[in-house]
Amino acid sequence: MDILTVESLYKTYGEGNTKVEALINVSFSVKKGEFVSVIGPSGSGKSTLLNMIGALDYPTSGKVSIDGRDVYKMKEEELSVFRRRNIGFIFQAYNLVPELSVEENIVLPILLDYKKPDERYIDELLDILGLKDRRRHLPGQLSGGQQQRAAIGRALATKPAIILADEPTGNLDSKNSRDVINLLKLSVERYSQTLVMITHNQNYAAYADRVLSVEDGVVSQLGGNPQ
Amino acid sequence: MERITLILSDKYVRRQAASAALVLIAMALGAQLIAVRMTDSYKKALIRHDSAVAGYLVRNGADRSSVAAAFTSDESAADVKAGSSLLASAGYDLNTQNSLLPMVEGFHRKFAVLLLASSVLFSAALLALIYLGALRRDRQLASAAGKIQRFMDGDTAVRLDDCGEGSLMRLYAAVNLMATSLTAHIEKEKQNRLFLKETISDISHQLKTPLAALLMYNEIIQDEKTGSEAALSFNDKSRRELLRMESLVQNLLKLARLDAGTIELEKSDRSVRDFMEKCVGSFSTRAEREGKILSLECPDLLTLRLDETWLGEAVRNIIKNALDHTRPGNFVKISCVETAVATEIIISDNGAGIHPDDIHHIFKRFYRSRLSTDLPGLGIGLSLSMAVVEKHGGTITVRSEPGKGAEFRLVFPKLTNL
Repeated sequence: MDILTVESLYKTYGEGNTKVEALINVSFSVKKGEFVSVIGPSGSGKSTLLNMIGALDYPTSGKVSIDGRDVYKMKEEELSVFRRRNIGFIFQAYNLVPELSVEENIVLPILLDYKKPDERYIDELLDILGLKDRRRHLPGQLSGGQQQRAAIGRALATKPAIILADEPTGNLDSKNSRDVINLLKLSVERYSQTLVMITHNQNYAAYADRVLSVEDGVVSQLGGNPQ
Repeated sequence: MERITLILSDKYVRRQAASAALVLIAMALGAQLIAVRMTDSYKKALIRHDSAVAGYLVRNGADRSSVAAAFTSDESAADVKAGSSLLASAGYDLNTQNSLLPMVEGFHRKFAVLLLASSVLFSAALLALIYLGALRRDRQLASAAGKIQRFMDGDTAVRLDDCGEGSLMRLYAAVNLMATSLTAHIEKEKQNRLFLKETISDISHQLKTPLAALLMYNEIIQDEKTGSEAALSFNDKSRRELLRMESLVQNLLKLARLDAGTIELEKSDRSVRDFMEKCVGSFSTRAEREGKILSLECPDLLTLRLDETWLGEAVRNIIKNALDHTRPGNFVKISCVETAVATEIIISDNGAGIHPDDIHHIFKRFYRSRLSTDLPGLGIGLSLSMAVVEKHGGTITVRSEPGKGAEFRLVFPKLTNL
C-alpha cells in the first residue's frame, strides 16, 4: 500500500536570470513499512524534496499525497494538524525544546493533540532509545547522539504515517551515527513505520530498502530490492 | 478544567457554546429591559391614580394643603390600617377581582403578552441553536459512515477528513490509522498467499519431470525380466508409490491453480445422467474386481450447469474415496435428486464410515485420519472436491456413522429459481 505518492513535482526558485530549478518532474511512491533513503550532493535538492513531502513548503506544481490525502489541498490550519498527526520529523539540528526534559519533549506532540500519552509505549520507547535513566534530563545535559535519539523518540511518539529524517546523522560522529541509523532501522521494523531519510553518506543509505538519488533536481532510483 | 479545554478545542463546539452564551446574555438583558418598562408603567399608573384621588378630594371640599401633604408625607402603619378598613367597607381591598380594576387588568395583560413573546423568542433561538448543532454533527457522522462503507466496499484509499481539532477529529484520525494498518495487512496477506501458491505450483512443476523419468526407468527395469521374485515385487511396489506420488503432484497443482483463480470453469448445461454415467463408468471395472456393488440412480431430465472436467474430478474423488473405505460385498450407491431449491448428487456407502473425531476435518488439506493410516490416500482428494464444488456455487455435506457407512451430498442450489 502506497503511504506516500509524489506526482510530477516541480519547484523553481527565483525568476529570469536567477531562476533555479530545485526539483524537476519528481515522481515516486513509498509503501507502508518501507525505509527509503535519499542521497545526493549538497544543493542537489534533497532537502527541498523533503520539505515538499512534509508540506513545509509549497511546490511550483505537482501533487503529494500522504495516506491517500492530498497535502497541498489542505488549508494552513488543517495542514498543521495533519502534520502533527501523520508526519514525524527528525532534523539534523535535533530541534528539541531546551526547557523541557527528554520525556516531556517526547510526549509533546501527543499533548499538543490533547491526548493522554500511553505510559507503556513511552517507557518502551525510552528503553529502546537507551534514554530510560536520562528521561528527566534537559537536552542541554545530553550528548549529540542522545539528543538525536530523543528527537527520534519524539517522531515515533504519535505513531505517524510517515517519518521524514533530514540528515539525522549530520552532526554526529561515526559511532553515534551508526547507533542512530540502527535505531531508525529497528523502529521501521518494530513499529512498521515508514521512513524517508536524507543522507549524504552512501554507507548509511545501504540500510534502506530502496535508495533514491537526487542530482540537480532530478530523482532517480538506485538498485535496492523492488517490492 | 482539562476536559473543558479538550471539548472546546473543537471549532464547532466552541462556536455553538459562544452562540448559546450570546442568546443567554441577550435574554438577561431583555429581562432587565422589561423590568424597566414595568417600573415606568407602574409609576405612571400610580401617579395617575393618586392625581385622580387628589382631584376628587379637592373638588369635594377637602383642604388643598392637607390633600397635597397626604401624598408627599411618609405613610405610617396606623394610616394604612385606618385607610384600608375604610376602603374595605366600600368593597375595595386585595380580594377585589382584577377585572373590576381596569388599570390592574391592563397592566397584567400588557406584560403577560410581552413576557410570553420574549420567552418564546429566546426559547426558539436556543432550540434552533441546538438543532443546527445536532444537524451538523449528524451530517458529519453520516458522511464518515459513508466513507467507512466505501472503504468496506473495497476503496481502500478513502480516508476520513481528520485535519481538525476536537474529539471527533481525533476519533477520525484513529479510524484512519486503523484503515491504513488494515490495508497494509491485507496487502501483505495477499502477497503471502500468492507466494505460497506460486511455491506449491513451482514445486509441483519441478517434480513432474523427474517423476516421469522415474516411472519410465521403472518400466525399463520391469521389462528386463531379471527372474528374481524379490526384485519383481519391489519393482511393483515402487511403481505403485510412484503412481501415488504422481497423482499427489497433479492434485496439488490442480488445487494451487484453483486457489489462484487462474482457471476459468467452462460451465454449460449438461444432463446430470450422462455426466454421472461417465463418472461411475470409470470405476465399474475396479468395483467388479473388488467385489463391490456400484449403482447409479438418476432421473433422465435433470440438468445442471457444470464444467465436466473439473466437476468430474470432484465426483470421481468422492466415489474413489468411498471405494477405498468399503470392503468386498459392500455397496456404493450414487443417486441424483432434484428438490425445489437444489440439485443434489448423493454418494453413500455402507463401508467403514467416518470416525466422529475426523468428520470435521476430512475436507482439510493433507488431513489423514489416525485411524486409516493403512489405507492408500493423500488427504487431498476431498479438499480438491470441496474447492471444485464451491467454484460451482455448491457445497458438500457429509453424514456418517462409524461402521455403518458414509453419505456425501453435493448440493447445488438453483439460484435462478429462487
